Amino acid sequence: MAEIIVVTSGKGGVGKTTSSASFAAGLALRGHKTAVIDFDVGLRNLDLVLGCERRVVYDLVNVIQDEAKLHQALIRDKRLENLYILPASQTRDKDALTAEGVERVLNELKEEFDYIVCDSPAGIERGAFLALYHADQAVVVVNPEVSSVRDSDRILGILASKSKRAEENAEPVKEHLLLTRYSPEKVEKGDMLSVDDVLEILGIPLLGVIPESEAVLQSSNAGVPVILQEGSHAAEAYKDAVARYLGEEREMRFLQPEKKGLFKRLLGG
Amino acid sequence: MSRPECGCRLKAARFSLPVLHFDRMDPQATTGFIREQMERARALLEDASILLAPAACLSKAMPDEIQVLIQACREERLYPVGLAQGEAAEHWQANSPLRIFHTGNMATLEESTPTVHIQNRCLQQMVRSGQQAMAAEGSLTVLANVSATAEVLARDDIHIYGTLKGKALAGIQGNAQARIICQRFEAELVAIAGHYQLFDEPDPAWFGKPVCISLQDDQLVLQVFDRH
Ligand SMILES: Nc1ncnc2c1ncn2[C@@H]1O[C@H](COP(=O)(O)OP(=O)(O)OP(=O)(O)O)[C@@H](O)[C@H]1O
Ligand SMILES: [Mg+2]
Repeated sequence: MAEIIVVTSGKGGVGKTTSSASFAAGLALRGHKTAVIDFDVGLRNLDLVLGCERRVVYDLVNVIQDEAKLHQALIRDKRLENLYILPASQTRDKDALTAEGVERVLNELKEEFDYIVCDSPAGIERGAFLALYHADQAVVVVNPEVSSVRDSDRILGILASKSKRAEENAEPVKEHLLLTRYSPEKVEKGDMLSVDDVLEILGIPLLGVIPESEAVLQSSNAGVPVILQEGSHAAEAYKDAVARYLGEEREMRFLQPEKKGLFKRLLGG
Repeated sequence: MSRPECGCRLKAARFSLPVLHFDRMDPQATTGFIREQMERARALLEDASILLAPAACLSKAMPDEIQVLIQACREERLYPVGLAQGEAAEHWQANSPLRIFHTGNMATLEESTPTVHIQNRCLQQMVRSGQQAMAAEGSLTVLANVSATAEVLARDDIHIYGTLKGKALAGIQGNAQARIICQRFEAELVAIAGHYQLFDEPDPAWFGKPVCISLQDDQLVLQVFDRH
């Protein structure tokens, strides 16, 4: 049975799209047929991060409004045979998404895919609500700062009270914390909340900690999900998170400031 | 009496509303006072329904003066819905759209119906920012944290077996015996039977400690359980 995963946060610019792209690519890398949907109507950029913006012909709104068939709008990733992208529209506004339309698209996707990853827009309004409403699991993306944690707490409240699962009194949406843009140096100096601080406030299981990394910007400019950027810490951390999601045990990495090598220390670097 | 075919029911109920007492017709002074109170307890007062309690010396107020005063309250987002009993109340009832709330009658109503309905609530999950959880007919127990800006309310006691970071309002219908007990106190605001206190500066005397709050002689008393 297909699983619907929402990647959400409340606050904007914390790394939802970056995480949606890498998480979906990670699931595809592990052999699962995965679709990733951009719910950020009007501000689409998932297609940019995945490097398929030139291949967008139809989008989510076209499918919802019966202007195109689902398989016409789905874009198959060039690198990963198991990964498909359903882009958002750049020209329409958020009202073009309807609850029934979204449900129909998700039901159709469920027949074909193992995982459906929904990249939520920021905020707690309509777009974000439609992205999380059908979720089975939620990856809550949080930056280690008070305002991001507060907004995520609100989103968790909405998941627990207004999602379809909550409305139908079904088993609650399974929640995962993905802490991104983590900088152990700043935590050590007291300029950033630590993993434990965030866990204490939000009280949900930790799926992963993605370090602040220049590789993220480089790879999104190149249109490659950062998880494919071999050797970068962010890629390793995303791979760990995907493995944990699939039930494997992995130790948390990149939580301590990087120790400088002996040579660098000798050279005073 | 229940008549399901029309979807209506009539039941006796008691509400406790804040009562605004005043002894002169000075909308400006009233506005100033309301703003001051709002600053201290916006969460409690904003958009609240209130009763007006004009002092006895105001039993000759002119209808248009009364209207101006009601309007002044509304502009500050407090909504007068009736009059508290008192010497001037009859005159105000005759000269305004407000009706007298007969609290005395309600008390007798309660005496003649001794079956007090108690319905306690227990929550397993966190009460998160932006959420509100209420036990309207009894006590509320929360087995997890109450996040910053979240609100928990109960007619009777509130027990929190986690950290209270948000707001807790016990005895919301006037039960002065109600208590608030929490494992870890980091609250923004607590209130018992309408007596509230804001905590904008964390005081190491109680911050992060297990605390019991009760009302004694109209004063909130904060008691820290020190296990040492
Ligand atoms: N681990 C990271 N290290 C460094 N930069 C990052 C990291 N994660 C995300 N970023 C950067 O943060 C910015 C916002 O990321 P992204 O677009 O994924 O956020 P978003 O939550 O989807 O934003 P929006 O709310 O606008 O949809 C981007 O410039 C991205 O490159
Ligand atoms: Mg985004």
